[in-house]
Amino acid sequence: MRIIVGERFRLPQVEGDIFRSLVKEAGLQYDKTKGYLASSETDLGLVTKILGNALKEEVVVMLKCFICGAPIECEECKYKDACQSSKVFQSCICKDCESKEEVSNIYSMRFTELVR
Amino acid sequence: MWVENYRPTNPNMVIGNEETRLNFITWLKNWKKKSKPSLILGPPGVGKTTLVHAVAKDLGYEVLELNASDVRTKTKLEKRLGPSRINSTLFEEKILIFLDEVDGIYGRQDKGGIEFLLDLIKSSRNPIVMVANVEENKKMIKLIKSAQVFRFQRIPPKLLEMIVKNILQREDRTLNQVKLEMIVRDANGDVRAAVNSAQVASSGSEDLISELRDIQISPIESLKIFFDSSTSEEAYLALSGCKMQPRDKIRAIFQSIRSIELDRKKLIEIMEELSKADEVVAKIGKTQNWTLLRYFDRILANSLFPTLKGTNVRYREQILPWKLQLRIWNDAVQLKKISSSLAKQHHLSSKDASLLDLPYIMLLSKLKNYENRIVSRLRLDESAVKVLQKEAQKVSQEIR
Repeated sequence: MRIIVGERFRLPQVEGDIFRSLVKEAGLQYDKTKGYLASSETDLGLVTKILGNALKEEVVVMLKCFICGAPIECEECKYKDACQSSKVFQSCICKDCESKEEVSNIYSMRFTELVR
Repeated sequence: MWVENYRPTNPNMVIGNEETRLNFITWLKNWKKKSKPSLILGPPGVGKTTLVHAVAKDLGYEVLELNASDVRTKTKLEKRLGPSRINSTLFEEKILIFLDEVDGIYGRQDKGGIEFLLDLIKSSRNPIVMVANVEENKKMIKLIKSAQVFRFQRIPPKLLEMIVKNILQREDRTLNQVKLEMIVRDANGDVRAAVNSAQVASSGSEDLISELRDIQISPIESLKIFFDSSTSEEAYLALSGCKMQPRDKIRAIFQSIRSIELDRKKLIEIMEELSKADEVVAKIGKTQNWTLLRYFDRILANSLFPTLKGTNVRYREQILPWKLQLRIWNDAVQLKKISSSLAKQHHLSSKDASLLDLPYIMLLSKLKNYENRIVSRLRLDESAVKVLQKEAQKVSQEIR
């Protein structure tokens, strides 16, 4: 199962205890109509642990590229060993955007758009 | 320094923690009277303070910055802010009250400071922004509960790389990819550390980078690197990588300098620089302005490095016997006591009393008629009298 930070996702019905752990302990947000959301406040290490045990499958957390919005495969990243596993960053940049010229300016412009 | 030259002045230029940054900007934009204050939590070097200043500037706020020492006592904080300053503005300017390193308040014995801070939060008509590094402090719960919390995380390595590459490009410097990645990994999400390392590495001192950036450098190792440094930047990184207290650093450097024979002129020059650093620590202690401690290593490295250059001073451990060390430091305490008592009597500052009057008092104390009068007038205890006599002996010998 893949979880993309900042994007809504749905889960098969889970037991009450598991739901409470996901929402109260791990900080996963839940909306009845929209589903679950992992944000910067979520302890993703705990989420993967709880869901991995409950669903009996591997849970992969992915970040979104701040510039283009594409999901990023952390497994392929040269820095995967240097990233914290339990507290994942809010966003990152993908390989394509990383190689763009003036990537810093593009990044700042993207943030400016969000502020507006 | 690159970290200062390239410090973002606009909130859009800050890198990382996008969601939190956005939420903080929204909080300040929508701030109304009686809104909760904000508390920004996160590790060092992730742009917390930079963001506050940048957003305030962007939204037209004048920042009234206070640090933990200002809120250490109620009187101090009242004096610094004053109710009128907090609650009304003469020219209707927008004031943002910024409390940096607020976790520092809880580390010390405060005298009503925390209560006053909580009162200030309730009564202030201006937005209050607090910043702290640690939240695993039980005593901070009260503060966390009373504030809107924004949590900052370490900057992802890829974004760190982007920042460093951008600065290198603007400085027209280069670093090979292996070194760049090493710097990014070692920085552990700290922009300040990454930029500082890149500055040193791109100036040709890259071999030391991994050692200097390693937070596990022992005091001995760090001091050895300090004395072997070939640039003041290396000297600074060696000192900043060492977890010793500032006074202990000064003491260790002092001992190392005293362990070798130096030309008298050179010795005076070095000691003068070392005393300046010592004065800085004393001043920080006196004013309780602990934030300034972050500049201590830089001051020590920049002032000492040029004078130590060309000498063969190397780190020496415990050259002076412990008993002798104790005597040196204890005597300094006693002399301080005498000076401060003298200052009160003569209506002078302690500094002036020790510089101008103390040598004469020492000489006078050698005269039988005066000794008792001085002792009773300055209310000196036995240990202070001993030190006074000893110093008086030295002064009279110097004169002869």
